[in-house]
Amino acid sequence: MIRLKGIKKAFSIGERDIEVLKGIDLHIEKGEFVAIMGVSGSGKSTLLNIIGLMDRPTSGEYWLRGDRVAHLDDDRLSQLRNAYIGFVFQQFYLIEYLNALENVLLPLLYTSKNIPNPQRKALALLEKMGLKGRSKSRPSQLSGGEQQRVAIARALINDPEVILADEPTGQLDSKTASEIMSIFAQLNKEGKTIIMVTHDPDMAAKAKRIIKIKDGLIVG
Amino acid sequence: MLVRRSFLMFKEVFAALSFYRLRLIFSVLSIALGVGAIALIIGGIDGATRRVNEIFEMFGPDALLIVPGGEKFSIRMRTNTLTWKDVRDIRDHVPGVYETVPMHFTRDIVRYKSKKWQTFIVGTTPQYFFSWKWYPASGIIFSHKDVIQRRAVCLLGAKVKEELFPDENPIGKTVLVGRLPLKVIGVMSARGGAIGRKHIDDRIILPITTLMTRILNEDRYVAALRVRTHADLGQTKEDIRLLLRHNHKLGPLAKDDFDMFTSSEVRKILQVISSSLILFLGTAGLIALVVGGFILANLTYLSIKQRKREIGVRRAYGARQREIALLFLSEIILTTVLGGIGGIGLALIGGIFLDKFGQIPMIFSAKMCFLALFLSLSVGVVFGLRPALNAARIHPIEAIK
Repeated sequence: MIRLKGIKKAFSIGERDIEVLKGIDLHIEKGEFVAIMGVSGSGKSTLLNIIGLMDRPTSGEYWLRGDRVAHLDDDRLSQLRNAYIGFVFQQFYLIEYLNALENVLLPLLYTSKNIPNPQRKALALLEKMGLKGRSKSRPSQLSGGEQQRVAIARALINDPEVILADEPTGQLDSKTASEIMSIFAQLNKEGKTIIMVTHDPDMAAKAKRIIKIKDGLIVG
Repeated sequence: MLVRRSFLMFKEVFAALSFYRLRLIFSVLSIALGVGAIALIIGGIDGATRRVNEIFEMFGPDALLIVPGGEKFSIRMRTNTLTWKDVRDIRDHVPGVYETVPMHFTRDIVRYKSKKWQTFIVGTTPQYFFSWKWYPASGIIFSHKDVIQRRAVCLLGAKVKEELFPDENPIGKTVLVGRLPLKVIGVMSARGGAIGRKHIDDRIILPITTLMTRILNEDRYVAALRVRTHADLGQTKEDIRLLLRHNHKLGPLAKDDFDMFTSSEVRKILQVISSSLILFLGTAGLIALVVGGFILANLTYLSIKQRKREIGVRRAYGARQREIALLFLSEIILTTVLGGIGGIGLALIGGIFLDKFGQIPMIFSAKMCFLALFLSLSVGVVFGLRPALNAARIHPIEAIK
């Protein structure tokens, strides 16, 4: 499903080049539930961005579903993101002027897939997330946990194969956090590949596989 | 699919605009002011052109207006030089002349019972009505006999009738000018509009002899003479010039002590007045529009800064650069089109004032609306394209931070 080989990523800050990723080799199969762990600055978020096609590596190769994708142009990367990847962010990043339903429908604005009856599908997803009756609510009217559920529904509307979650429980209390984690576990059971970045060992423990990253290299 | 997507997009654009409505109001207002000023000018130019042509038509292409004084006299300081003898000589001796209308004017208060109204008083001959093709709506005009016998009769302009006889038939009633009672024999049809600041309907008309000898104390000089000719206008003008110079005993070095205007000169004067108005409003309008554009651009930059996360999320979910640009550009263009519509509304209101105080009627045309919308659209593209493209170029990683 996802294969990385010798991935390096350097940023230039002023005169200096800082190498954040120093050669990552990684293989993730379809249906895995992976937690990438590391302290802040370890390069875990950069790795997630590269896996999510939000950023290109400085060097190295990346195969997504067998296709080389590391050096595709911006338009092509955008299409692949839309088709295969669903993002969940630490701070939810719902659009403040759209209601829950409209936020869930957002990815369909950019899709080439034919999703029949999107409205009904979005409502069904919101219901599955335990948000029945909240479809007209604005993000500001929802709690953090509810917002993250809307964001997960948004990640699922376009039937992606991979869910990428960047510290999805970082802004939530522990009870809500474990509820969100059970949703991920359930989605994984239904066949979704889930890759999650976290620095919280309790959350990482819910994943089936843990990848530890330190100073830009995988250490276990 | 495409239809559904466009529908979704429009829904989002409307949602965004109504959510950030304060910003929308400012942008729309600033564009509306500029577009409104320009729409007002377009409508005003059309109105002024029509007014000028009407006056030209009214004046008549074969007509000449002779007034005393010459180039060295300002309008207010004109002396009396034009005599009854001049009038008779022009009528009898200048080839081609088929109509002469002597006139005298004053301003005075007209009274009826307890009502008073200051108005423009015109003394003339019956020719006046035929020459201007302007007739009473009710009643009759005065006759040559009335002129010869200096009878105290008059016709009221529509405006004077409205002021003194709002719900009464004035015909047969007596009004007072100075100490002279005048019998009202007719009410002129309303002509509307104005020449300069004088409202055409705000006047009374009476025999010139009555005005000169029974109201003023003037038996020799007339204030203006309208002449119409079958002959070439330039030729007639030259003939009259020679005749008047002879009558006034002007030596070869002396300047004319009279002025002559033809319709094309009248048109020129009116065009100068309206073109200065156009220049002023045009400059103001363009400045307002450019300022509006800058306000729009700045508010868009602000908006993009504030909505960076949103850009990141949309990019993460597959929006290409052009789709981000399109999103912001749609918002901007919708804003400016609203501004354009608002501008047309402002021009409508401004037009009422222009008509009331500037005496220039506004003409609302499809051309004007089209141009207003086109202008606002252009402002949207010119000032919105750069911010929209900048938004599209933000790297997804930067946007999501």
